[in-house]
Amino acid sequence: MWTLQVFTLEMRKIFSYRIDFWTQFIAYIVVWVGISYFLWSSIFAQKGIDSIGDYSFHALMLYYLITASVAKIIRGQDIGQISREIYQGELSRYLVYPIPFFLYKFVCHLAHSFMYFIQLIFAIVFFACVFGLPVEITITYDRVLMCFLFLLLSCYLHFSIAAVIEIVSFWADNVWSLLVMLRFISGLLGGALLPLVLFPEWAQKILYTLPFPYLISFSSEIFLNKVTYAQTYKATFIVFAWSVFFNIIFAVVWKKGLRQYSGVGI
Amino acid sequence: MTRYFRLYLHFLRFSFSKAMEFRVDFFFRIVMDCFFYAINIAFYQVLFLHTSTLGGWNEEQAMIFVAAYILVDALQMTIFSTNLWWFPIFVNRGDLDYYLVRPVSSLFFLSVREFAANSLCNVFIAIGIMIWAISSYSQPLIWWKILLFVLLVVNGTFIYYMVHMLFLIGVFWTHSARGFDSLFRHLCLVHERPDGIFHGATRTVFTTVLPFCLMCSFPARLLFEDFQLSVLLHILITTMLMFFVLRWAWKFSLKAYSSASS
Repeated sequence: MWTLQVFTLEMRKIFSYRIDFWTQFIAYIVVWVGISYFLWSSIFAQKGIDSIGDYSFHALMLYYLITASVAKIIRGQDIGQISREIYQGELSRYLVYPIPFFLYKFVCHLAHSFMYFIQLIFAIVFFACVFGLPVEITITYDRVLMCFLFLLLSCYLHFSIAAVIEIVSFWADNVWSLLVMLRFISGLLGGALLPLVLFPEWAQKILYTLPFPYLISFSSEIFLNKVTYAQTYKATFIVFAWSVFFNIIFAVVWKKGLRQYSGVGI
Repeated sequence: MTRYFRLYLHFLRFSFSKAMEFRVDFFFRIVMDCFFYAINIAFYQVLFLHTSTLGGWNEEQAMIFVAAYILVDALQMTIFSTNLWWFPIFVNRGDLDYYLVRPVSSLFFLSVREFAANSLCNVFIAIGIMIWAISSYSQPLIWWKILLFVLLVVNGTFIYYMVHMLFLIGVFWTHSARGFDSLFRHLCLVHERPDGIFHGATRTVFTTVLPFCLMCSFPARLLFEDFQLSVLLHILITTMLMFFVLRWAWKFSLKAYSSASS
């Protein structure tokens, strides 16, 4: 099975830089959750409240820990992998592979996501051991499984959106800025900066029809018992619909882009 | 000094002609930074739906603070960012030789050679946001305090550059600045939060050793609150100390440079 071979090969590559990988992750989580801790403790203390938008302070910290990790999981590899290959002419070798380019790249992406997923598990276990789990959260097998499956969907959706942006590089001289824009937008509208429940109600209604909440915050909400089964099924349908939409766009742009591709260095 | 000024004007001319070669990228980068500004303003506006003050500041004051860190971001993106992005690559490839043999300060040459002309448009947008935030402020502001605030925000950009450079300088020994650079970028979030939310040892660290709070929070504090000479001196002394530390660290690290290509 080629997918498994590509997956393990990519994992080996990641493990060759494991110190870098872990130090970056720990620094990211500590700084991100640490700053969120100071920000929210100041708001909770100023208002003298126990919860905000249905989140206790304890649950809010766990939310930030999970969303920070989920943001890493869905992004997988560094941005600009596909566009770099287009610019440098390395795309040519994939064109002669007897496997679909999109699927090949998604498997590579999944290997990185899987490593971040392991880090997420470590982070949650660490949080539970040191601070304990918030009292309102009960972890059940079906919730964990649902969260995992939804994360897979989120990964696919993010990859589909990013892939469409990356292949704009057939025409544009640099798409790095577009990918950073996606990161900014998914940070705010995906709920990494703030839980979406804190947005005004009218904004939430619009947001939940867009793909962004399903990239980052929804998996965390499943884990934290903030959504019902019915909401999860609806979300699954929306993610599926957006994925199909972006896959169609990818197929059209890819076809036109290949005609434009000059294969630098052939 | 005149020589340095003339040299910088040449850098500007080259950078503008280079930026005009990649027009799509030029446009994308401007839009990208506009998104960054919009998202930061939106973040604080949503936050203030749930609280009346944050770190001792109300929404109007927080917006001036946001405008300040947007301006710092725009300035550092324009003047330093591209240069610092290339710096670890130059060290690893041995391209630093080119900078070391010039008859000007290598640190100056390396830090400001590439001027991001596309980000200059964002500096104007950031100035516009600053004017909007200050003019929306309902309390009277004294003109010299506004002037001092703007000067200290520019000084904040310089502090930003120095801290970033100190994080990257480890590349002379580690040969990969990725970890340090990534840590710096995560820590940068501190300068986007009011210093009033930090307390204890964390606050001490962020106002001295890693002076992120001095980039925008302290200048904003001088603008809204009663003038405190101690705050101003704190900013100026820390800036000078950082400058001396950076110069010393640069000279020290050059001794470890092995010039890969030679």
